[in-house]
Amino acid sequence: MADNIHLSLKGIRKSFKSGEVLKGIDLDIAQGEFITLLGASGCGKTTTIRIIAGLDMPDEGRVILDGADITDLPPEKRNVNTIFQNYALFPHMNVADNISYGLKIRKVSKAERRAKAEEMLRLVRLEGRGDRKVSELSGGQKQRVAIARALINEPKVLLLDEPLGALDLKLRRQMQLELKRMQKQLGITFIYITHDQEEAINMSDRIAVMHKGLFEQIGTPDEIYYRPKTSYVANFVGNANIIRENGKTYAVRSENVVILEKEAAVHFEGAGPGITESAQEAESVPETAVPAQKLTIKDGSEYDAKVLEKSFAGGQLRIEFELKDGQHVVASRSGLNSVLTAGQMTRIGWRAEHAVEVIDDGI
Amino acid sequence: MRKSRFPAIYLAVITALTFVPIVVTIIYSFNASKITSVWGGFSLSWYKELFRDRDLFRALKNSLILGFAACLISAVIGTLGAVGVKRTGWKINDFISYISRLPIMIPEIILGMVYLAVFSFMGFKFGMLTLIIAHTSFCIPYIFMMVSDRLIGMDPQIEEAARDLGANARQVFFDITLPSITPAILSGLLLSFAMSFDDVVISVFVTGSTVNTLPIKIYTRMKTGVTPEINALAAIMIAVTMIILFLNRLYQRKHD
Repeated sequence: MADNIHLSLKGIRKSFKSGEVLKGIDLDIAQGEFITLLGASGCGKTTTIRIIAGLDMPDEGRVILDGADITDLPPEKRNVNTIFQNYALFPHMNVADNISYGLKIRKVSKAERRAKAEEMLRLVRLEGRGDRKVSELSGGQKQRVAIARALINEPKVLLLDEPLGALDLKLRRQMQLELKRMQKQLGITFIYITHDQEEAINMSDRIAVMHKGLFEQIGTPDEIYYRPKTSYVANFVGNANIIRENGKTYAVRSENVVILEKEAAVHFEGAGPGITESAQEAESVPETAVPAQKLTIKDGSEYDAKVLEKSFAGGQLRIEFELKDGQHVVASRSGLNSVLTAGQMTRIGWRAEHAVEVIDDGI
Repeated sequence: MRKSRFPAIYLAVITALTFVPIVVTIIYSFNASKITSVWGGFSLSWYKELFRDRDLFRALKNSLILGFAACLISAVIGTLGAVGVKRTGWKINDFISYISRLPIMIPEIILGMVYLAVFSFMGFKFGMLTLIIAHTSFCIPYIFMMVSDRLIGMDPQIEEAARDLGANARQVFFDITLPSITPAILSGLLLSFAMSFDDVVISVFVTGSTVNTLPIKIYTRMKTGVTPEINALAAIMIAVTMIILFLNRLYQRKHD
């Protein structure tokens, strides 16, 4: 990667009255990369892109774009554009004037401006809507206008601050695909902010997980999801259980937690080689058509566990358990079928390869 | 549960208090009788008399010049002040905002005395110039308040978006900020013009012996008794005010 570094952040620090927001972050981004800054609100991700855009000045550190130090340049002198969270369209201009504002500033002729605006409207699939008032647009359309307004300037880097946050789920999915399509088509570097791990995993070439003003881990979606380095990343990205045992900390994603006894024999993703079925305990599961299972794990851990609560969320059944030492563990699976009831004792476990050792940062 | 009658009564009282005197004034401007309290039949003669009254027209001209000058100058100063207070973010800005609104709170008679003292001290010749300075200074707060409120309600990100798209500070002001606050400036202009056009107390203190404004003229004439001619003038002024307010409302509807 060292040979095609496009944008570099070097030791960026920034404090506001409320405290230190960025505590010295470093990041190298390649030309044409789609990188996502993922983190909970208040982790410093918006401040990071505001510093790249020039809207905030860092207290320390440099911003390097294509080898040139742009740290002290005002926002209008940087070839970087931003999509703001609330779109920030100009309310007194129509759609076409909004889109071509950047060209007007650069004194591009009116005819050329109009032609370019049409081209952009086609790119964001709003053909023929140039004369509309901004207030007449839906949220998704406003979003597209904001994208067109930024892309018309052919920026080297496009900064997107939770651009889909205000849209409903269906529209969000659709816009995710469209953004990805445009990014590939134009080859522009995208720096994308979100607090939604699914969105980050779906769209990014790389994800930088931010927490309290620092990067916890930077890597591909696969690395972040399957090989989290810290307990925060494991929990935030994979919704993993954090298990502390013998002075070590492990992350176990909920779909890999296998219920070994007294549960209906339904497929668990975490099951598979190494988990074998043994004699059934018929009397423990009365009045059910599905035979109860009794499994053992060859290479892994098993625990006695008490069922605390069952809930259904995001197309998944979640069952929360309490281990003997008081730690809580969540198992999840698709489908509603479960015969366990709250308060019941059972056994749960996971294969050794599903317990990823992580650095414990207290989460 | 029965609906309370109170709102209806309240509304009737307010309407009566506000509109009855106005309607009476307008009706009596068409009174043929010279005695205000006696109805002597319909006549336009007072309007004819009014339009022949050179003295009154000179006063009207003075009032218009004064009103336009004061509200335009105060619009520029008030707008720049409000934008400056928003932009700079200095600690002293709260204090600046506070004293910028102060002239509205201070009794007019006190303001009039203050201006009189200051202009005398500085050796100004009393007349149109002193009137314009005094009126400008009491009009600034209206513009300042209107524009400040609008700026507070404005999305700060649209100015950042313009800078992000390549606009420098001057371009941001003229392309983005100014169009956003224009309705507030216009409302402020109307209000200050009305305030200036209506003012007697301060004007009496700061005008010279040669320059009369319309309100001063009316006030002076009232000392010798209300003539139906003044009723006619009042009726015209009410009509003009209503037209201006109506246009302002149309404009604001169009922009919301």
